[in-house]
Amino acid sequence: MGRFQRGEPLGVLVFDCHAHMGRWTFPVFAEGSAEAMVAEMDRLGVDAVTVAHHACMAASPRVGNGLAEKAIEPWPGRFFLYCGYSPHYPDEGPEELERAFADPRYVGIKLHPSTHETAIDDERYRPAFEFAHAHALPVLVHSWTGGGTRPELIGEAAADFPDATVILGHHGGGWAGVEEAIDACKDHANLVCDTCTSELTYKIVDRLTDAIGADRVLFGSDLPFIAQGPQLGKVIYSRISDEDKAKVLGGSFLSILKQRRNLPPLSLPAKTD
Amino acid sequence: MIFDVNCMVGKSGTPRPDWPAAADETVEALQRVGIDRALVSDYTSLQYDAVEGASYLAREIDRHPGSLTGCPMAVPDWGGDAPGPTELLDGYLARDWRAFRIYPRAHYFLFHPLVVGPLLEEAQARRFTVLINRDQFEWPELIDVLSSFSRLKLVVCNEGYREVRTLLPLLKRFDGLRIETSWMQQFGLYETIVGRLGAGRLLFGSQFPRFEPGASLTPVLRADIKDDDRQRILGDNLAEMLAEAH
Repeated sequence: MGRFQRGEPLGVLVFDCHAHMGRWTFPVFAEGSAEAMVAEMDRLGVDAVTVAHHACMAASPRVGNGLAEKAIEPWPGRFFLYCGYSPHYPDEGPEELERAFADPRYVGIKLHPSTHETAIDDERYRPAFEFAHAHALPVLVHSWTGGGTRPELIGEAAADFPDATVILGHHGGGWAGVEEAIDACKDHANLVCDTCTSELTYKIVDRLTDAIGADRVLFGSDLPFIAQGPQLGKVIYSRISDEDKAKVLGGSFLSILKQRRNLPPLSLPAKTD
Repeated sequence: MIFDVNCMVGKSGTPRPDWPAAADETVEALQRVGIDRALVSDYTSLQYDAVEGASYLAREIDRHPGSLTGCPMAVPDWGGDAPGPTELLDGYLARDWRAFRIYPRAHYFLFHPLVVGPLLEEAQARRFTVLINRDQFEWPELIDVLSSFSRLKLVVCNEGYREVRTLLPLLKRFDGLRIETSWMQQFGLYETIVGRLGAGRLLFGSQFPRFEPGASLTPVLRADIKDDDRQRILGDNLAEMLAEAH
C-alpha cells in the first residue's frame, strides 16, 4: 500500500484480466485508444491488460477483434486479446475463433450475453465453450444479477467444459451479485471471479479472497470503459496478505493462461513470476 | 490534507457486513488510507428523521472534532415539523457545521424552487454548501433550481460515470455546481475536467462505507494533473467552500 501511494513500482506482476478498447455509446475520452491506455497503465504500474474491443460487444466481434489486433501492434507484451464472440452469426462466432487463435496474442474468449441479449445457456454459445475446453482457455463472461448473465446460470452452462476456466466478469454484479458468484464458484470448480465493478464495494476483494481463495480472484478494471485506478486501488487497499495480493494482481491470471494447449505458444508479459 | 466530502457514519438500518457501527471505526478506516478529515452525515438522519438526526450526528462525532465534521440533513419546513431556514442554519453554525445535505426523494419533497426555495435562498445568502445525491433528483430539476439560485454552492454526490455528455455543459453553465468524485470513474475524467474547467469543480469523496476509501482515493492521487490541482481536489476546494459560510 505504501509503495503504491508513493508511486513506486509494486514489485509484482500486475496483469489486468478484464479490459476493453475504443469508443462506446457514452463518451470515452481519448477515444479509448491503446496509446491512452498504455499511458494510464504506465502511470499506475500495470504491466499488461487483456482486451476485448468495445465493438465486440456490439454487432460485429470480427470488426472489434480486427481493430484491437491492429491497435496493439506497437506494444507487444503489454496487450493481449480476448476473441469477441457473437451467438448470432456463425462468421462472428465459431469461424472467428478459428481465425483468431492462429494469432498467439489471443489468450481467451469474451462472451457478453447482456449486450447480445442471449442467455449464457443458449446452445449457440456451446461452440465457444467447446473451443475453450479443447484448448484449456479462459472465457471471460459478463455476469450480473438476474436474467441470462447470472453466475449460477453461467456455472451450469460451463459445467460440461471443465478445462475452460470461466471468469465471472464483475463477480455477478457488485454487492448485489457477489454472494451468488461465490456460491457458483463453490459449486463449479472451473469458475473464478474478477474484481471489476464501478461500485467500489468496501472489502469486496477481502470477501472474494476469503470465500474462494486468491487463486480464483483476478484483478480486472474494465479500462477504458472506466478508469483503471479505482479498480487497482480496490486490490491494493484491501486487507488480504501481500502474497494473496500478488496472486490477485496477476499471478492467478498468468497461471490460468499457462494452461493453454494445442495452440501457438504465448508471448507473455516481460515481467512474470 | 485529504478532506473527504462524502462519508456516512453511524449504524445503518440496512448495513452490509463489515460496515462500521461507530465513528471510531470510521476514523480508523479513513486514516488507514491517508484521509485526514471527512464531512460526515449519519444514517439516522437519512433513514429515520432528518431533524432529530442532527443530535444523533453530533453525539456520533463529538469524540473526533479534528477528523469528522458534521454535515446534517435538512428538510423544508412546510410541514411544520422542522425549523425555518434561518433558525436551522444558525443552529448548524453554532456547531461549526457549514454544509448540509438534502434528500428530496427519501424525505418526500419536490426538488423545485417552489418547495426548497426558502431553504436554498438562505443557504445561498449565507454561503453554506449543499450536497445532494444523484439518485435524489432528475437533471431538469437541478437545472430549474440552479437557474433560480445561481450563486448556490451545490455538490452532486454519487454521480456515475456515464453522464459526461450532460454533466459538462451543466458545469459550464452553473458556476456553483461541483461534483464529488467517488463514482466519477470515467477514463481520463480528471485530466479532461481540469483541462477544460480547472480544478475547482471537483471534490474528493470516498462514499465510505459503501465504497473502499482507498479505491476512491486512487484516481485522484494518480491522475495526470498538476500537484496543485490535485491538492485542490483532495481537500482545498472543500475547505475553502466551508470557510465561506456565515
